[in-house]
Amino acid sequence: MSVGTRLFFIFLSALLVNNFVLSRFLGICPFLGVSKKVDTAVGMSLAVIFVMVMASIITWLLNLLLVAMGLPFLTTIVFILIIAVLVQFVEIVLKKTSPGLYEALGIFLPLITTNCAILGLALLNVQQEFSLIETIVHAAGAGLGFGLALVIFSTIREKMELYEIPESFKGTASALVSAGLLSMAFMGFQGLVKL
Amino acid sequence: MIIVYSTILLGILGLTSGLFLAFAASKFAVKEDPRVKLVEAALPGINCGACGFPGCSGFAKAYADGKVPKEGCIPGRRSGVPEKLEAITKTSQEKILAIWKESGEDAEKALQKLLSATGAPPKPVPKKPVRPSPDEVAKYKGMLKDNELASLIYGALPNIDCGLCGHPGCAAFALKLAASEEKPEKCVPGMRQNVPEKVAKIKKMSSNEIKKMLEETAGDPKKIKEKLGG
Repeated sequence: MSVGTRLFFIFLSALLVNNFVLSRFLGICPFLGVSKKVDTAVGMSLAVIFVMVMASIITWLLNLLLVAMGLPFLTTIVFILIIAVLVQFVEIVLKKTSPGLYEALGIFLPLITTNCAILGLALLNVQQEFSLIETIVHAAGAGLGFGLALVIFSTIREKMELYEIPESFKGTASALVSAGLLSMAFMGFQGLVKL
Repeated sequence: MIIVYSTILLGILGLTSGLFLAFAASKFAVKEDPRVKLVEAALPGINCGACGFPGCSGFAKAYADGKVPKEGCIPGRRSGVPEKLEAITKTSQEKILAIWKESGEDAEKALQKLLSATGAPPKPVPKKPVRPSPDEVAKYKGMLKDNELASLIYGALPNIDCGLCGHPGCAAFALKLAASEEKPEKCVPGMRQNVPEKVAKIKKMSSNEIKKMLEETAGDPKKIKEKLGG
């Protein structure tokens, strides 16, 4: 397998086959919490993509250091620290440079820190022993996959608001059911790519 | 050894990230408009949300941008907030900046200085509203029966008997309105429900029209409000 095809497969795998939300079931909290409107879903996805790519690069470099020092058991705590710092930094910069986006994202921006999809991504990169370029491509695919799932789901939820749903199924109940159906639809991608 | 290494590594990491964030925070510090700060200082600061914004800071920002009128702060209306906001709006940006620097960027001090400089009217002492007792409310409600105009006006009022108008309950206020002894603007919660317009509409009706509307709605305040429309 040439380098190009391998990178493409890694990207496709993170985007569709092993979609972080719908196949790995990571980051379910923002998936349900920020999917009521398409606008906020898009904003959240952009912030997550940025944090995912940045965090992957930094954690990949830090992992080299951890391995060299013989402290691989510290990955989780170090990665979380890096992610938290990064999210804070993004928040500070956004507040200065783009107040509009900052207001639109609101509370969801700091909440990215506790989004397990990002820590999961950083740990998966290390586990699968990706190179730096592979890590970046994997992070981009994972971020886009997260955005894809979020945007699809938010459009479904916007439409669902218009239909008559039995009282007991309104809100989160119907959201969970449709999330399950969406996840089943994504199972169709299984076997598309094998790494 | 492992413990020493982990401690050193995490210590260094924590320190660098802390320094990095502190540096970023000062480098990208956002200077907030002193005008917004002054408006916020003039507001009651109880974050009640009655203006439609999540808190007083949201209202202050919108007011500074000219998006809301000075009467938008509902609890502040009776404590002279609109007058203070007016004084801030009338002051030029240069003067505000000068006052802001003089008072050491302290919003409270700056506001006091600005108000004394512009000679804004002193804060009127608000009369504490008394919530009427249920007996009193019931007494006036009984008096509505033989007054059709007042009954209809009662339907247009919020019917929460808050006592903010200074009368014991909505029924007593409706009787006063029917006798043209009060202004509908005195109904504080009603300002957001177009009560003055509704009352004016009712006052224009003939006695036959009033009778008809009362019969159609069976005197139910909810139905009367629907009939009168927004």
